[in-house]
Amino acid sequence: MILQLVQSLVDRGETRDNAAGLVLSADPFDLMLRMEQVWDAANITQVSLARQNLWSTGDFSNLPVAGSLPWDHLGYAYVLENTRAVQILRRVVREYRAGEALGIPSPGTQRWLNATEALLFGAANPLSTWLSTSSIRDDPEAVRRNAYWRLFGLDLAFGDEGNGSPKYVKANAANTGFVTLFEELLFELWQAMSNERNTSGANSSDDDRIYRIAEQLRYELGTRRKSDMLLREELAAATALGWADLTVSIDSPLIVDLRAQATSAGDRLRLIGDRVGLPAHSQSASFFAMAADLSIFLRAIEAGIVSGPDYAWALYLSQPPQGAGANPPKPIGSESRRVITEWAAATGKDLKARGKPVDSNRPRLVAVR
Amino acid sequence: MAGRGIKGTDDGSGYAEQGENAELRRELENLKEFVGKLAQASSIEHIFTKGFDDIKDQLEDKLAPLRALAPVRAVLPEKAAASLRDIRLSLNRPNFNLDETKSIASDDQSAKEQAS
Repeated sequence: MILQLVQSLVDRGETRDNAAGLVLSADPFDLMLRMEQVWDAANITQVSLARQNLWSTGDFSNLPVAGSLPWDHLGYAYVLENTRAVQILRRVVREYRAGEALGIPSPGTQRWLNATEALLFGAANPLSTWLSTSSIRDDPEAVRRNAYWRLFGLDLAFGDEGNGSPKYVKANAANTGFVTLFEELLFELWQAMSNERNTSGANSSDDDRIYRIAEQLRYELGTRRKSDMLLREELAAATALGWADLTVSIDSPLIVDLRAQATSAGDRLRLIGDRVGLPAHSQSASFFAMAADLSIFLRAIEAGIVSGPDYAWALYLSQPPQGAGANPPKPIGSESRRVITEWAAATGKDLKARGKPVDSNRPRLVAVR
Repeated sequence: MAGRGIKGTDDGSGYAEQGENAELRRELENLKEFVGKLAQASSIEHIFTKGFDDIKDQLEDKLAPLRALAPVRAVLPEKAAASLRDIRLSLNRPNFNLDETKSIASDDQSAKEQAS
């Protein structure tokens, strides 16, 4: 939602860095109202007239909300959270609020601190109903960890801030088979990409298999999404991590105050981590590089774009094939390629080679038990 | 020493062989020219009499196995195409990996190049 808000300002005529600065220095209440507006636009639950009247008073209410589900997928939040950005920013807020160990914050940094406490760390705000936290589940990080576990069967790569085991409710109903399917799909997509122009040699791409794995992934994700479950948590997580993403995307007042100027988000986060004594994940650059593309990739899987083997190309071609009709949408091959490269770098798995060859010596089907 | 020399090199038979070869070569050239003219005439006549359609059909039959090598890529159903457009629209964002001034300058440059 945060990066999409920046884009709306760019569409209105702001330069990219100006738009980012406007959002980073916005009043937290305006950001809350924008979230209400975005939730309303998604048309998931009926929003009362009072709420509509309220969000229409916000600073950003005149900016149109583009698309029908205008926030990032939970996968975006998951990979960005693995950079440890939230825990690092928590230390920054604590240091600035508790003393002057990091220096005197500039007015821009103080505005950022206000918004960060509201968006990331649950500071009281008059529109708390959309939030995914309450007295029953009061830790936003624990709520996100619960959502990651349920949707992906994955935990974060680190524990709590003190490196202890994280405390969150680990639901029994979780997609523990997600990673296997996901990595198998990436492998098959790579085969298809590398054979895209192959017209003479052995061609190991398999559109039917791509379709079947994509369909299975869609079923798994859809099981946890029944009746729009986890959407509220997804919006909260995507907003929190979008805020962290934007914070380290430019040399904002906070970055300048912390003397963490750099040329990439990963480097800025690393420098901030060094300042507050909490190292960022060593593969942060890969997480930042794939987050937005993973969001598009998983949304496309969940939307069921590939409804048959003949449409598998939508996941691995970068341009529509010849004869794709008038004004065809751009397939997501570029995004898939980025996810393959960065997921392989982040996990250390070679997705471009099959780890275990298919056993062709097995004579019979596995017996049913 | 003379006995060890190459026999028959100076008895005239070599020159006779060369003459025969030259004659054979001339006849071969004539034959090639004749066959070429025949083939050309028949191709042109074929096109004039039967049109290009027959040749197209023949080529299609011959190249059919190659066509099977290419994967089938159907047009996305309208609903799926609309979903994909919506996803891109919903998740559109600025790219912070590019230097803003540089990207604007390069866009201007490419626009100028296109205009020229």
